[in-house]
Amino acid sequence: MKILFLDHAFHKKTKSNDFFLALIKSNFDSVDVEYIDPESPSEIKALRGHRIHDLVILWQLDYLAPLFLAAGYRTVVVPMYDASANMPYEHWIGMNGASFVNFSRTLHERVIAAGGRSLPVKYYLPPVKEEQLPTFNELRGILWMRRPQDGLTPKFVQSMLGEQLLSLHVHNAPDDGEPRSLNDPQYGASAFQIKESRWSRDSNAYLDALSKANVFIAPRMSEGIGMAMLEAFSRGLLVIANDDAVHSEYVANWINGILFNRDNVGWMCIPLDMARDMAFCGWCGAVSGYQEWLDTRRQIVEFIKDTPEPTSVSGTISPAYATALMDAYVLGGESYRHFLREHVVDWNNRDALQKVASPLRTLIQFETQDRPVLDEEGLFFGTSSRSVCSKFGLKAYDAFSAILANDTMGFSAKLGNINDEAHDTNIVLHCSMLEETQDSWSVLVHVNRECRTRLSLPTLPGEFDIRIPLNWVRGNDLDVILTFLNVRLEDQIADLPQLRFHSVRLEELSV
Amino acid sequence: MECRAFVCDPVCVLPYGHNVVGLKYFSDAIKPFFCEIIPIASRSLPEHISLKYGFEREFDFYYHKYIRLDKLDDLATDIPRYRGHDTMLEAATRDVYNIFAKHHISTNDAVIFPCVDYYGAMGLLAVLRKLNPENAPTVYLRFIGVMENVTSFGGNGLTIISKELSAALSDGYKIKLCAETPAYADHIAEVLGVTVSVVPYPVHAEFDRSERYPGADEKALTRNCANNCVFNVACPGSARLDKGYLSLLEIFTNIRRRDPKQTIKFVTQTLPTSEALPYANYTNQLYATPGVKLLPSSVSEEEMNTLYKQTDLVILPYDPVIYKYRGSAVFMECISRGIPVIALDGSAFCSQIRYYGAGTVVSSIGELIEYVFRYRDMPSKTISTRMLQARHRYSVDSYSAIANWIGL
Repeated sequence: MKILFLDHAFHKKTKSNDFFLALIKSNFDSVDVEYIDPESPSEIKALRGHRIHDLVILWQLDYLAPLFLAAGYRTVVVPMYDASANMPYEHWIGMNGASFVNFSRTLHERVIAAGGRSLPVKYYLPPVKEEQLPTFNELRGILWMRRPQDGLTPKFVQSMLGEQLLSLHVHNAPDDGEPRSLNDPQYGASAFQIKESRWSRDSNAYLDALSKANVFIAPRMSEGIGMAMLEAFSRGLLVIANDDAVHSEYVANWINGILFNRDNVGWMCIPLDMARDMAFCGWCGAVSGYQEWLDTRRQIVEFIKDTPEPTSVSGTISPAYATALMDAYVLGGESYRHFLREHVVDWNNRDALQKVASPLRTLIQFETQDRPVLDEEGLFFGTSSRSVCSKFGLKAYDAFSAILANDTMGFSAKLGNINDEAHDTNIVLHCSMLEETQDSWSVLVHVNRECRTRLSLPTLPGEFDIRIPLNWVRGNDLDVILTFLNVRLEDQIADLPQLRFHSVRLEELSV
Repeated sequence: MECRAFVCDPVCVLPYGHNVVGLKYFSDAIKPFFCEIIPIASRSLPEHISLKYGFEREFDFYYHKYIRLDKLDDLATDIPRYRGHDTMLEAATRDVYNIFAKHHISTNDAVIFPCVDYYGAMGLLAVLRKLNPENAPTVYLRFIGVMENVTSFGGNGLTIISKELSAALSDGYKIKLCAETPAYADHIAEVLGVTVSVVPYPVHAEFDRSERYPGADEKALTRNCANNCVFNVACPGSARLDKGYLSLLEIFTNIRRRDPKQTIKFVTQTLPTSEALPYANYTNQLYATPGVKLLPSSVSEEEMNTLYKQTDLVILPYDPVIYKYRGSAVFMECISRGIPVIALDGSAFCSQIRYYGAGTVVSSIGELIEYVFRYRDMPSKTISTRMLQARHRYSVDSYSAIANWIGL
């Protein structure tokens, strides 16, 4: 089986997925690896040209799954909680047909609720021997200051543990930006001794410090796998972490570690014997967890091999569609959700929706009834959250516009507040003709199944408006359909005009 | 002796859980008393399950409001939905009528509901009352304190069934009643003013303690688990809030604190997906506790059998209020298989645990935790001997109870 492993470019640096990639490489004949940076997306080679891979594995790049599924790839997704925790449910429903290897139980539950196939797994690192466990005569902390902007700083540790700590080793190596000055009162602390290290080529100061500490403060608010936390467990340190996944899936509060609430942190009294017992319990969990992980590896491979063929295959994926999806994702939550609702989730696929857990389905179906409101401010034709819904007959979406792809296009919206004399209101579509057209085109416009107007399109490049009178529209829901007619070539197939749709707004006419 | 027995369970609809195996076990248990057994389930039960067990599918499903079917891939999707009490009852009556007509059910036959549900029972009584008592089949109703209470309009089903039953009994219809637990039998007897038998779940599984120690010899069976082996504690059955799901974290974490090396391990199922999301953080804490294995809310019969085979002790921290009259299918599975249980006092099945010596009844979660350690430290042979005796007594009683109910 030939595998394509697509990964986030960030992992070239962190190498946090090396263990998984090694597992894949050792169990499949051929594995090609590509890295993608969602912030500066480039063309995905596998979606163009001749297909050479049997299966694609998307590590953290969940949002690409709809593309590969539509292209007919057997698709495995390995989502990360820290990246996908806030994704809307459409995100998970839109990937139905993919298989998920979930390092987060929370995400596993969401995938299952959305009707997906998921294998929850728990990773552990090889534990040290019992005689190598740290002593607990006093508390010696370690904090890798990866995200000082989140407030996980020595100052924060001081507010939580104070003088209970004899010392704190600060590995001052943020993911973004330069190391922060520990003399800065925004970061520093005075209740305990502080030692500092940074990344260096010739020594691993972090691991050295870890071997001398017995209290580990998790460096991020949430994690995808939590390698640093797992390292601490395997070495028998007491793990203290923010109460969010995946920390909360490894740390049973005050049993094998401690969870804190970053937004409501208070003083924590940790007697030495309790600290020792919790750390020991955490290490025992790492011992049994590592054995279970070794057994789980075979399960993962079989699970991947059993990934089904996707059922709803579109065939070739246009670069424009792929770009639109990626744009919508980068634009953020609402735009991405909007794109998924408009272009990915098939609300008419009863079989697919049948798999979605009932409360979730009810919630989503209720929400789908909300159409965007069309008012004088207007809506767009692209992927942004301020776009019309149920668009069809368009292609090459960007955030705010799309190009005509068919001789019929349409959209839906809810009519905003207009006065009772709706007959004095127009819908105005703002468009641009991208290239000169040799043919004469007219457009026939229906609103709620009634023909409202017919007008001619310009032949020269430039921007123009299509005005549609709203004569006595009943109700607030608008379904608009535009049919493009070539007036000269009745028996011939003419090339569609290169027409870009930008926006639509309401225009009240003065009486 | 009646010739044919129609064993009916309109709530037998999900491919997992108690109803399928319950219908199977009861159909098997009454075989010696009839020429022919015809088990009948819901039409919404997946076909492959009905074929596997030889069930006919004749009943519509009347409980959509309470049991969600629609997330299951292989269930019928065009199940008619009913609004209001009357159409539900009409549907149930129509179904029972069709069964009577199709099989020409007569006075020589028996109609048995091993776990009575409201609409099934009401439909049956409506059809029965259209026959003369001398032409009607003998009806056997076994109450377990669950679906007989459930109506679409929110009323107490048992009260309504009781009135209909009283009328039918005084009109001379042959109706024999039993309940799953002594407490429930006494309660129904008081309500109806008639005697009600106690018929527990039939014994079905092999006593298989030795299977938990493959190749076990006398030495293995006498070893003390506190020394060097894993003692597996399970909470089988569908994880539900009324079955003490929210007590599990207290139990697991307190034991783990005292037993960091995990000589005791836990397995539990998680809440059904439709209920799970609000409890995600709680379940994450179960998941985070070392030595805890979480299973999906529904597992196959084979997976459940495997779980039982690997289990040394079952804990049943059921809500004593909800289970005041109810039995526990899990307890009856355990006593059949030789697995001791620990239950919170107050549930109706606790009297059976005490009477048969099939485990321990405790008054608090703290005491339950203590007893988990006691069982861990108990020689396996001691447990084995006790459970063999418990099973023997239960088996004799269970068989006699069924025979007595059926009327031999």
